[in-house]
Amino acid sequence: MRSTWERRARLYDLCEGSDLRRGVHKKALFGRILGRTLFLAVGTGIDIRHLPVGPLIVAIDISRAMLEKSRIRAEAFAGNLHLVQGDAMGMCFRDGSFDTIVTSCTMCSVPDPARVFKELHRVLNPGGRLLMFEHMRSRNPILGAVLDLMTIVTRRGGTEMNRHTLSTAMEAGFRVLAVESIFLDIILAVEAVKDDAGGRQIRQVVCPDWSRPSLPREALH
Amino acid sequence: MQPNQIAGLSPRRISLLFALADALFLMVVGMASNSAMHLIHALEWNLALTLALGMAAAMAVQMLLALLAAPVLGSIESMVPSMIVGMVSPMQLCVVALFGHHPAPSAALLTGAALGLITFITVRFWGRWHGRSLGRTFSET
Repeated sequence: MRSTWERRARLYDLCEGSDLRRGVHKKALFGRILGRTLFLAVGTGIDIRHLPVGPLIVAIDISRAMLEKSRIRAEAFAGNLHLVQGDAMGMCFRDGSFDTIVTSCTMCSVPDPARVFKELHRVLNPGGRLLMFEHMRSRNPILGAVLDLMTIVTRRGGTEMNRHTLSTAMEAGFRVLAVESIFLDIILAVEAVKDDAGGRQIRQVVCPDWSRPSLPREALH
Repeated sequence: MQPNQIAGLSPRRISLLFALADALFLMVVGMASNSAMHLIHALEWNLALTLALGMAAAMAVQMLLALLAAPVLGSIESMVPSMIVGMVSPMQLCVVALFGHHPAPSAALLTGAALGLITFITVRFWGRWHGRSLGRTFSET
């Protein structure tokens, strides 16, 4: 998993060149960020420019190569942003550490989205917001079949085009508040809230010191 | 959710420009796919072989065009609708051939462009309808 993303870091920005089209929607979604925020899988930092400058934002990624690339963009960012290497499937933050969690085209690339959503549910404060800019399988049978076909190829690069991300989030205990279609029903901007009635907290993990060199202590408590 | 302005253009204008680019792109894919199919059809092999090879060639052309367009139009935005055009256009030419018609290259280009435009309009219409339906299903306030 980590080595896949180390390799992809070199060409990642070329594949994500469509930011001109999606950027305005990301900026609008990320504008809803409030309080201590976790940015999941920051990648090369292409989305950093769309983040608001006010809140404390902790951005994680599994790949050191990706983080190295994102560091340049993080340094140019006027806000309070901290980069941390970490795995979305087992994060080193205490329960309820964040008020908002942001994901951007992340759930297509994690090996087990259900487990990641449970982790997000754990580290999010009760009533905290999950803001997702994600692509998923279309409910249209023709478009869905096209995405299934595409997945045969993209899976080799670690990307699944046909995941049911919205329902996986709801199963993990998130209540969806708003969904905006960015491209058909494939690329969606989603706002969800941690619903205490659902989901299950799976464990409590604390960061080892080496993984948070520049992170203020208050971000983890 | 109101997208912010970018590069001096209003979100509405950006959206319109991308819609035009999408339509143009799908028309080009339709024309290129039909041209590939037309070239293979001109070899006058049996219909099954022509269809199989024509579809493979049309899909290869479509994928190449989609990869080239992806940095500007978006990977998913260019790949998904163009794949439908790339699959349907060779079949459409084969159906025409089954009825004993052999369209000229210019007619193949024209039908390819028409198919691209029809796909764009259909996908756009479905997207609009589905977008509203999604908004109604998940509306907070």
